[in-house]
Amino acid sequence: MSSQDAAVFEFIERVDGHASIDALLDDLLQVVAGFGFEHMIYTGLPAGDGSIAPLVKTNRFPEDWWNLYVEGDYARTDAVCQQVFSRVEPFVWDEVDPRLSARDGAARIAGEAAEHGLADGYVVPLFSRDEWLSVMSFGGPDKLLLSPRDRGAINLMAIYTSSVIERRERRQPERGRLTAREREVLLWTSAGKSCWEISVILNVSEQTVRFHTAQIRTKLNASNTTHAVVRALQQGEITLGQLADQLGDIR
Amino acid sequence: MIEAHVVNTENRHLYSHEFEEFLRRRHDYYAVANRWVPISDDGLELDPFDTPQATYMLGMLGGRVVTSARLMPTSLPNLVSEEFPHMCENIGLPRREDWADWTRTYVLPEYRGVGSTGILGQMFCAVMEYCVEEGITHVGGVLQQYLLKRWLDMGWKVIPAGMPRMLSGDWCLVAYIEVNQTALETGRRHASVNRPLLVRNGAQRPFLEPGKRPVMEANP
Repeated sequence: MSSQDAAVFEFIERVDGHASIDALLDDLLQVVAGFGFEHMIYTGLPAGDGSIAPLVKTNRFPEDWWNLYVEGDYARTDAVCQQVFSRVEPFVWDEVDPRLSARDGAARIAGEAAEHGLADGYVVPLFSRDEWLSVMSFGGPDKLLLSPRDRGAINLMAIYTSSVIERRERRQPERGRLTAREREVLLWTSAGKSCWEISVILNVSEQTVRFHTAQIRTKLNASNTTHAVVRALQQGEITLGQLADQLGDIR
Repeated sequence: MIEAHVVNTENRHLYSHEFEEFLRRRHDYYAVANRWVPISDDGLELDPFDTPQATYMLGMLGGRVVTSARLMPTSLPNLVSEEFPHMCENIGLPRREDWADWTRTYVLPEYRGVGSTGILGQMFCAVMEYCVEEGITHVGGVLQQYLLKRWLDMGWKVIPAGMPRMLSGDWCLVAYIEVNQTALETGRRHASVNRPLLVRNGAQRPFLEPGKRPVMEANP
């Protein structure tokens, strides 16, 4: 076994023992430096019109680059990001589907990334604990030559690290989860029921339903009902299965 | 919630219909849909590891076998020892009665849900429950890489036997889960399983020979 392989397996052994997520990321970045990486991010990917910013779990990308990325809503045009939606296999940035990199604006984003020390990288798509499509992406200043073995090693580190991050974040005090009744109201709302209709279904006053929907938006930090449904799915408050059941009920 | 029926040579006659259904769905999935194994004339999938020493768990829901698992002591020939021994460069090939090789777990497509409360999570809990009861210390085998995260998300400590590699177009690796009561509890919490799922009908065949079970803590 090479010394690099040994370093990877040793990293896996200590992955759950760090005092903080920051210490874990320091350790990870030190090991992946051996493969040519200097930066990493672990984030969910936005569905529809959403912004990527609230989906970021841990971020060690250059700050000025990330500000540009969020402000310019680059996720929508970035070929690397878009590729994950069509193929959930890990890939080197440079191997991205030419049809995606040929789209308007994609080359400019890749160029700007390179100017910020992210000339090439490697993406490991992952499903978060609540099954949200996410990625751990690693970047560095030079073109990458990753062997299949290197790729396997990075996949392995990304999977272990992502799971530790999610389990740690779960342990921290939560913003306040939805109550069973709030979840029920949200599911009926997503099925297209008005506040009045929900009040009849649940046998409560319309005012009470309005109170619940306001609480839901606050807890999920959502600006409207559609946004609330998306956030609730992301955070595992409701599942697609429940949503489908509810939609099935009204057909 | 599924019921996970423990089936082996001792009680297989009680499950002849269910077992055939299991082999038929296995064939649909492993031979027809994924082409990992050859198509067979009788539409049943059997491999060299369907031996009298194998223990099966049939995950039943509403009278159907919707998921499954097959366990085998790694001291006997198993999928890893016979086909993927080179994928254990980190810890070496396990060959111990109390390390179980785990294969043939998938969920019928029409029962695949989204989220941690799905049937796959329930089957994971059933396997852990069985391993705790039987004194197995580690359980694992060759798996697709995306499933490793599902194991870790159960709060399980997982030892990678080697690096992930591409096997017929999929990233796969060999890995083993540490079995203990805590793992059963964290797994149940994550999968929203609030009760035991194992069902044992008829005579049972212990996974480990009685003399080889680890000594449980004695009463003071």
